[in-house]
Formats: sequence, structure tokens, C-alpha cells
Amino acid sequence: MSQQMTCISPPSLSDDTLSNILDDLADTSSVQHVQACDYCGARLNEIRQADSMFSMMMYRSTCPSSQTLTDYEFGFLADGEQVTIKAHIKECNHCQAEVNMLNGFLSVPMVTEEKPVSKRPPMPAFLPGYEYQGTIMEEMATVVRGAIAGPVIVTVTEDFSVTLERMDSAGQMSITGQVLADDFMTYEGSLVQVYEGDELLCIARVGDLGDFECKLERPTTAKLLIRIALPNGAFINVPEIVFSDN
Amino acid sequence: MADYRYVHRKLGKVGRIVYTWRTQSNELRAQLMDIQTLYEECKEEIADFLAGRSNEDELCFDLMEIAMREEQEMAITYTYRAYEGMMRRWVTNHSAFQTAGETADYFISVAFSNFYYAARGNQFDKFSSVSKALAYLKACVHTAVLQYRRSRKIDALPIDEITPVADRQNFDKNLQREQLWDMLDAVLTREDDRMLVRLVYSQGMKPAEVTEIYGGIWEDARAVSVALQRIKRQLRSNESLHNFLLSNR
Repeated sequence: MSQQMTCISPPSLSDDTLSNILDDLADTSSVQHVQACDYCGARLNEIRQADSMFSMMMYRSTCPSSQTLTDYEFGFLADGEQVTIKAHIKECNHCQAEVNMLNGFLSVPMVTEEKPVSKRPPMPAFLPGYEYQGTIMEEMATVVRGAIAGPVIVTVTEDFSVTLERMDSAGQMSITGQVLADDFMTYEGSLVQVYEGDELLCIARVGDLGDFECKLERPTTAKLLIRIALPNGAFINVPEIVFSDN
Repeated sequence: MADYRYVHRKLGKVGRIVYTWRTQSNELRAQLMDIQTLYEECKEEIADFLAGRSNEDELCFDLMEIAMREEQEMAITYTYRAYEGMMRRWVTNHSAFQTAGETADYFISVAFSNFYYAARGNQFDKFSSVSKALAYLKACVHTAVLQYRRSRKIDALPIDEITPVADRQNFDKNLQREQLWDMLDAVLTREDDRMLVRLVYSQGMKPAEVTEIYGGIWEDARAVSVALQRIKRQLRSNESLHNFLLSNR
């Protein structure tokens, strides 16, 4: 709010009065005042925005994750956690609705017709904290054979990079790589999924040194998406990687 | 493999599996099968199942078990491929998919990863059959769609507000929520006030529903509404909280 702005008819409306206006509890003169006064109107608008932000941040802030709700329904949680989640669901409309939706979804026979998708949804965004920043340490995201050039380093976030290298052996193409992060041990067991368009080419597991090797059934020079799925549910996407034949 | 009676399976080196089985005349036989052949056999089992011809799924179960319990990478890849079609149908048939704003491939990938992390190693003991594992995999599809929508808060907003809110999700929400709750703990000194905020703002309870559970604290819906008015006023007048909220716009 501008420091220059002042109330057109001091004293300016109190916080309580502005609060009453937001809750439709204010008298007519206060409403008229705020409509005419830019200063009080701006204060009202700030409180309204703070209210909106409060609702957004509070929304399901105490709810278990969807996966935990699913595991609860399948009885996969430890005994104590089953009890805790049961108690939560009892007093949470959102989780009740989600569990009901899960059971409805599961009750549909396994074999159902595929619905036509009316339009292709937008391309994937990246989950908060793991956004691909587009910084690649080579001019192009092109990886050439290891014998000619070493691995490229793809910087995904400030704290996370990955090396990628093409290795060919007996006509089989492999993509090898290593996670470069201070906490690389936490990536052990993560799944590295390599896609060409919609097609999954291979899955590999990240080893205890952050290393992985994906063996492809056929060589490819197409653009690949390399997705690293972490055990905590987060994803790191490394898009548009090309392994050339040169 | 139609007349075999499964006896034993052992995963050998370089991904070959030794199958031992008895024929109908009770002769003991053994056969080597590699993961790719197992995958092809599994695909046939799935095709038979989808066509209503058969419910046999032993080889699919073996493939899945090698993938999950033994975490054999090629088997993981083939398990994904074997069930990708089913997962795609589940995603596209999910009532929340069309408005989720993500591709089916994305949700398939998330669902399969969640399934893997829940089923790998000894955790595979939870699944005594393919049907049980598939029920859970299907639930993981649901989870993937719902969690995504929740992270974007799509399920709480009118359609025309989806995009601006989704664009705003570039902060670490969990950390900020923790900060918010710390501030609420400081501002709201009464335990029942904090509980009411949790029930109403986080868990979506209506005043009448709150009194059904906590009638001993709030005797009727009006008492809840009055308490909420007081709490809102208290929160709105706190400058630190106000500034914190506005800084997160």
C-alpha cells in the first residue's frame, strides 16, 4: 500500500470494522466509506488477500497423503498409524471424500474400456523443489559415445546434477549415469525411467554410489525423457536428452 | 506351458529362471526361461484375462515377484510394460483425470513408482496373488491423480481459478505450512481454538458437524460460528501473521 495514501474521512476504519465488512456484519456507513476511500479499500483488499492465502495454506494441512490413505484402506500401515489415520478420517470431510472415491474407483471392474481423451493435457510441470532449470553443462543436451567424449553433466537443481553417458556393447546401447548430490546416498534404490515419447524404454535402479545403468533393447537417437522417481514420491525430470551416433 | 503344474521357480544368474514342473502324468520336468520369455508369457495371460478366456496368472505373478521382491531391473521394466495398458485405462477412466491437467503417462509413471516402493523387497509378502497386487496398483493410480490435484489444490477451487493457483505452486508448501501452524500456536493460546481452526480450515468440517463430534465443547452450530468469528478477528489483527500470509501470495 502506498505510504502517501490517507483516509478521506479520518479516523480510518478499524481492523474490527474491516473484519466485519468482510463477514457481512458491518453497518451501511462503513460499507459506503470503504467504497469511497482508496486507503481503507486497499486495507480491506489486503485483509481479503490474507484471508484467501490463509484458506489456501490451511487446506488439508493436517491431512495424511493420498498414498497413506490408500495404505490405510489396504491395512498396510503399522497398527498405531492405522488407529491415527482412522481417527483423522472420522473428523475430516476431505479425507472421507477421498477414501469414498478410492473405494468407488476400486469397485469398478478391472477391465474397462478406455475413454477417449478429449484433448491432450498440458505437458508435465515439475514438482516444487525439483524444477528442471534447463542448465546443461554442454551446449546441447547431446551425449556422444563415451569413447569419444566423457559424460555430460546435467544440472537439474542447485543441489542436484546427474551425469549421463552412452555406452555401446555388442550392439546393445546402455545409458549409464551417476547422481551428483551431497546426499546422493538418499537416492539409492530410486527408479530411473527412460522414455522415448510415450514409450518406456527401460527402468534401472540407482545403486549405493548413485550410479545406474539402463540397458536399451534397441539403439535410439530420439529425444529421451529421463525421470528419476524418488522413494519419497518426488520426481526429477531430465527432458530432451539426445544420445547421438557420432 | 498349458499343462504344467508349477512346483518351483528359481532365479539364476543373468536373469534366467529355472522352472520345475510336473506334467499331467506326474513327470518332473525343468525348463530355463529368461525374463523376456516370462514377459511374453505374462502378456498372453493378460490378453486371455482381458478377453475373459482365462484367469491364469502364475507367470505374471512370477514376473512381478522377480521385479519387486528381487528388484531385478529388467523384470521391473517388463512388469511396467505388461500392466501399462491396464494402468492407462484406469487413469483415463478416473473421474478426476480430465481436469487434472497432466498426461496419462505422468500418472502411470507416478503410480508405478509408488507401487514399486510399497512392494519392493520383503514388502511383497503383502501380495499373495496378482489380483491383490493389481488392486493395490489400481489404488496407486487413484492416489497419483488425487495427490496431484491436492498439491495443486484443484479439488477445492472452481474451474476458472485452477490455472492461476497452479502457477503459484512454486514454493515449499510443507515448510510454509509448518511456519503457519507455529504462528497459529503462538497467536491462538486456547487449545479449543486451535482445534476448531484445524477442523474447519484444514479438514473442511461444517459447524454442525463439529458439534456432532465435539458437542461437549461447542454445544451447537451457532456456538461454533461465534467462536470462528472471534478467531478470525484475532488472526486478522495479528500483524506478523498478516505479513506472513501476504508474503506468500
